[in-house]
Amino acid sequence: MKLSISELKDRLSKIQETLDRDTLLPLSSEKREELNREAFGLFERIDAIDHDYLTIGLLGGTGVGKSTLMNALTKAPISSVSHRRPHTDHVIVYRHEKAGPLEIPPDTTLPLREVVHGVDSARHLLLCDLPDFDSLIAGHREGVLEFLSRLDLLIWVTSPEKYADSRFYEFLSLTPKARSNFLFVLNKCDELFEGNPQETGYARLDTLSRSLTKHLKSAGIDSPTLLAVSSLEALNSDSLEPWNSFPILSKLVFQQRDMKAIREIKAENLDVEAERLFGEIQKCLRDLEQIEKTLDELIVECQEEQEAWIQAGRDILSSWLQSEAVLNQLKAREQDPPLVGPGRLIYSIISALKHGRSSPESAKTGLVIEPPEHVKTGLKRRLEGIEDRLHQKILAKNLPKAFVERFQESIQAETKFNQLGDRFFDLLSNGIPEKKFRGAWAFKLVQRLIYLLLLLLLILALGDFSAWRELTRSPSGASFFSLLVSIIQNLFSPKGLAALGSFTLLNLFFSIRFYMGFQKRLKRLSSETLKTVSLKLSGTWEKTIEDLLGGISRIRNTIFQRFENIRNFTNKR
Amino acid sequence: MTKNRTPIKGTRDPGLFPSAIRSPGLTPEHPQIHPLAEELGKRLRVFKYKTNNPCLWIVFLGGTGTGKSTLFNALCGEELSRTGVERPKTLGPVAYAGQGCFPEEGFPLPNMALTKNDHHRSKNAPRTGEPGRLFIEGHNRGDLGHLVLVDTPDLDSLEEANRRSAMDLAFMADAIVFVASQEKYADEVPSQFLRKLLRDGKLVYFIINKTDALFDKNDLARVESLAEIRLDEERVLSVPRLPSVALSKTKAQPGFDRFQETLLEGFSADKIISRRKESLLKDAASLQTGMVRLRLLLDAEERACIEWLKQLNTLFLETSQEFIRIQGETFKAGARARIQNDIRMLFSRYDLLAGPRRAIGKAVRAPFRLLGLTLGENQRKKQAALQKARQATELTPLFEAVSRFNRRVLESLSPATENAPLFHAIRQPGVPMDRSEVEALVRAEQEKLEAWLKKRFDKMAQGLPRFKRWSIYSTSFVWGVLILTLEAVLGGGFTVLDALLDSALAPLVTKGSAELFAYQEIRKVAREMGESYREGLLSIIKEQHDRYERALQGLRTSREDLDSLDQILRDLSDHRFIEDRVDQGQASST
Repeated sequence: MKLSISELKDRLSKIQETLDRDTLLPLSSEKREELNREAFGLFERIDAIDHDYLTIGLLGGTGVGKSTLMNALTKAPISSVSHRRPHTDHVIVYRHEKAGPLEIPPDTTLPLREVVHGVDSARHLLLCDLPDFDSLIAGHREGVLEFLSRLDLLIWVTSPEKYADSRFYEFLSLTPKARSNFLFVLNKCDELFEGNPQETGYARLDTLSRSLTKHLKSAGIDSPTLLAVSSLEALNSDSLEPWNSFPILSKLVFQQRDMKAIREIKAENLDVEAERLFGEIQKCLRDLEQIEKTLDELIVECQEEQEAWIQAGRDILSSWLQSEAVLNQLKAREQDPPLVGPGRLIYSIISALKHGRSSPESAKTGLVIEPPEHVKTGLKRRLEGIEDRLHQKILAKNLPKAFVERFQESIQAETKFNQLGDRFFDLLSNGIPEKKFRGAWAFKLVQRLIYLLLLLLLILALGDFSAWRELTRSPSGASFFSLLVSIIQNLFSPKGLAALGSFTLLNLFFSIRFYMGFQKRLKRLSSETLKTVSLKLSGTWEKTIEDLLGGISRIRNTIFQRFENIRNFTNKR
Repeated sequence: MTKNRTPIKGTRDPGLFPSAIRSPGLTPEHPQIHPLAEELGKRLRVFKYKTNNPCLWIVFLGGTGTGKSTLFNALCGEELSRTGVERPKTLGPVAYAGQGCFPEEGFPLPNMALTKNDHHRSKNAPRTGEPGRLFIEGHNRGDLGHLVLVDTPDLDSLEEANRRSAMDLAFMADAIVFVASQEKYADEVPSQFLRKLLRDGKLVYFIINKTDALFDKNDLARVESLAEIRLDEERVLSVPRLPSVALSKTKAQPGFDRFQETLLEGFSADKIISRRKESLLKDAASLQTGMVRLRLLLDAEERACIEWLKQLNTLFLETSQEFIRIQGETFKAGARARIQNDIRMLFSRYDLLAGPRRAIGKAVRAPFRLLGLTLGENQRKKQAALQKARQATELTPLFEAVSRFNRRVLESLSPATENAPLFHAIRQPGVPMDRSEVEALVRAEQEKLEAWLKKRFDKMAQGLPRFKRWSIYSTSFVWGVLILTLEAVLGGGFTVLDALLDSALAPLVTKGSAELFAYQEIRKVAREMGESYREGLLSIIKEQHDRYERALQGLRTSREDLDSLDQILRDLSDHRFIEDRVDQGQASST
C-alpha cells in the first residue's frame, strides 16, 4: 500500500472537509454529494480491511457462461443456466454458513440471493455471480457498477465471441480496482476445439489468446492473468482436456490466504479507489487554475482602468466641493466670532437676518455639509459601472457556475456604496476640523484698542479745552467735576452732536472693516478646511475603489490557497 | 445508364447539408440538429445514387464474432471475407457485385475509398478489408448478377470507425441481413443499431446464428420488447452452430439453406423493379420523417431566435432609457452652452452697434493690457480646459451603459451550456465593445454633429429671414433713438459727456435686442442638437445591440436554405416521380 491507513484516512477527511466547506470548488451539488458518498464508503472499507474474508465477483457480458462457471466452481447447481438473454438479474452470493452476511452497498438496486453452504475450504470466501453489463437491461449495468465497491477480487469472464466487444473494455476502464486483483477467464474454449483436430484447436486458442492479450494491453492491463477454460466441460466431466485451465482457476479462487494476503488485496484496491477519488478532486484543480488565470488577467486590466475610475469619482466630488454653496455652508457654521463691540453687533444682526431667511438643510442631518443628490447618484453610478464591467468580464469567460455566483455575491456595488456613504457621513459629521482663528486674541486686542481710542477721542472732543487744561494742571475732584459738566454740556450742543456723529460713523466704519476682515479670514479658513475635506473625501473614494478591486485579489488568493491545499493532499506522493 | 440525373427535381444539391444547416442552440434539443442534418445529407446523396443504380443491395450487419462473414461467404459461395477467431476480424467492407451493377459510379459516400477487382478474372485470397475502403469484387454470375452483397465490419467492437462505415453502408441497403448470435442477441450495442434500422424503414432479415438444440425462438420476444423493436416473424431465421466455419459445411446446413432460400427468393431478378420501388419509397418516407423532424427542430430554433431578438431589443431599450434618464439633463445644458456663443456671433452681424461696442470694449481694456493684464483670455483658456474635461467624463456614462448592456445580455440571454454555438458567438472578441472602440465611435459621432451644426449655421446665415433681420435692425435703431431723445429732453441738453455715456450704454441695449431674437433660435437649435447628440450616443449602444444581433444571424439557417429543404421535402413525397425514375433507369440499363 502506498499510503498508510492513517495517512489515507487523514486525506479522506480532508477531502470531506473540503467538500463540505468549500463553496469555491467548481462542483455541482450532486457531484459534491456523490464524491462525499464515495469518501464515506472508502472510510467504511478502510475500517473493514481487517475482516478475514474476501469477496470475489464474477463479471462478464450476457451469455459468456458466468453462471455455468459459478456452478462449476461451487460444484453445485446454484446459478440457473439458460439460453434466455439476459438471464441472471440477481446477485447470487455463495456464502459459508459461519461467515457474516455480505454487507450490501446501501443504494444497490440489484436483488440479492444468498446460497449458504458448509464447505469449509471456502470459509473465507464470498463468491458473487453478478448480472451482465452489456445487455438491453440498462439497470444491470448500473447495478453492477454500484456493487463493485464490495468486491475484492474480480474475475472477468469473456468468450471467443465477445472478447472484442467495446462494452467489455469500457466497463473495465470504469472499474476502480487494483489491476493486480483482476483475473481474466476466457470461457467456452471448447468451441474452438469442437469439430477440429487438436492442433487446429490449439492454434486457434493461441491466436485468440494473443488477440485478447493485445486488446487488454491497449486497455492498460499489461500482464493479465489469463485463463482459458471451459466451464461446461468442468461441470459435466471429471477428466478435463489439457488446455482447460479450470483447475488452476479453481485453485486460485479457493486457495487459503492468510490475513496478510487478504489485507494486501484489499489495501491495493483501496489505493486505486482513493486515487480515483483524488483524481476527481484534482480535476477541479484545472478549473481552479483557469479561474485563477482569469482573475489575474482581470486584476491587470483593472489596474489599468483604476486611475480612470478614481478620477471619475474625484471629478464628481470636486465639482461639488468647488461650488460657492459648499463654502457658504462651511462659513455658516455656529461659532464664537473673534469680534468685539460694534463688530460683534453687526455680526449678530447679519447672522440673525440670514438665519431668519433660510434654515440650513444641514441642521436636519447634523452634517455641516451634505453631498447633494446628484453627487450621491453620480458616485453610485460609477460604482455600478465598475461592477457591471467586472461582472461582464467574468461572464464573458466560460467559468464554472458555482464560481460565477460566488464572484457576483462578493463584488457588489450596492454594499460598497453603502460603505462609502457611512464613511462620508463619519467624515462630514466628525471629521471636519473646528474653526480655529489663529491670533484671535491679537485681533480682539486691536479692536478693543481702536474702540477705546475712539472713545477717548470722543471724550477729548466733548470736554472743554479749559476744563481739560485745569484737570491736567491740578487734578482734583473739583476740576474733574467741571470737566464732566463741560462734557455733558457739550454733548447737547451742535458741536457735541457732530462729535457723537463722527464717533458713531468712525465706529461703524471700523466695525465694518473688522467684520469684513473677519469674513475674509473666515473664507480663507473655510476654503482651507474645504481643501482638507476634499482630500479626505477623495481619499475615501479611492479607498472604496481599491476595496472593490481588492475583493478580486482576495478571491484570487483564496483560490490560490485552495489550489495549494488540494494539490498537497491529493498528490500522489 | 444515364448518370447524374437528379431525383430531386430542380432543387439545390442536397449537399447543402450540413454546412448550410446552422443553429444557435437556443432550444434544449439543438444538439440533435447537426448529427441529424449530417445523416440526412448523407442519406439524400445515397438516395440520389440509389435511384440511379439498377441493382439491389443486401448488406450484412452485426456484432463482432456473430459470423457475418461466414454467412456472407456461404451466400456468395466463395471465400471472400476472411473468418477466424481474432476479433474484430473484418476491418473494412467487402462487396460482391454483379457485372452490370457498377456500384462505383457516382458512389455517394465521400469518406469511403473504393477498390474494384474483376473477380471472375483474378481471384483474391479472402480479405480482412481495410478501414475506410470498400473492396468491390465484380463477378459475372447469372444468379447473383442483380445483387450487390456487402459484408461490413462489426457494430460493437472497439473500432469506432468500423461502426461508422457499417452504418453508412446500411443506408445503401435494400435489405439488411442483421446477424446476431445466440450469445449476443440481447446485447445492447447491436440492438441500438437494429432499432435505428427498423425505424428508418429498412427491410431486415434477423439471423440468430450459432444456435444450439436448446434454443427457443420465443426468448426473442422478450428481447424485442426490451429493445422496443418489432421484427417480422417471416424474416427471423436461426442458423445452428457449426463446429467449423468451412464454406462447404455452412452451405450444407439446413438452417442456412432456409436463410438462403428466403433471401434469394425475396430478391430474385424478376422482383428488381418492385423491390427497388418499394425500398426507395420506404427510404423516401423515412427521409421525409427525418426532414420533417429537422424542420421542426429548426423551426423551434427560429422561434427561439425571434424571441431572443425581442428580448435583446427589450434590453437595449431598457438600457437606452436608463441612459437617457440619467444623462438627459446634461444633453440639454451641454448642448445649449456649446451653441449659445455660435448663435450670438451669428446674430451680432445684424446688430448695428456691435462694432462700436467692440471698439469701446477694446478701448476700455487697452490700459489694462498696457499694464500686462489680460482680461477674458484667461477665461477662454479655462473654458477650453473645462470643455475637454467634460468630453472625458461624458464618455464614462456611455461606457457604463454599454457595459451594463453587455452584462445583462450575458446574464439573461446567454445559452446555459457551452455546447450551444451562440454561447461562444456572443463571447467572441470583437463582439463586446471595449473602451477604445466606444471612444472612437463617440469621436465619429461628435464629428458628425460638428458637421451638422456647421451646416445648420451656414443655412441660417444664408437665409436669415428678411423680416427678422429688419426687426433686429429696427429694434436696435429705435432703442438708440429713444435713448438719445430721452437724454435731450429730460437732461436739458446733450453734452459730450452724455454722448460718451450713451455710446457705452447703447450697445448693451442693442445687444439685448439681438439676443431677444437669438433666444428662440438658440432654443430651437439647442433642442435639435440635443436630440441628435442623444441619437448619436444611443447609436453607439445600438451598435452593440447590432453586434449581438449579427452574432445570432450568423448562426441561423438562411431563408433560402430552409426553402430548399421544403422543396426537397415536397419532391420526396412525389411517389410517381420516384417510381418513374426506377422504370426509366431499369429500361436504360437493360
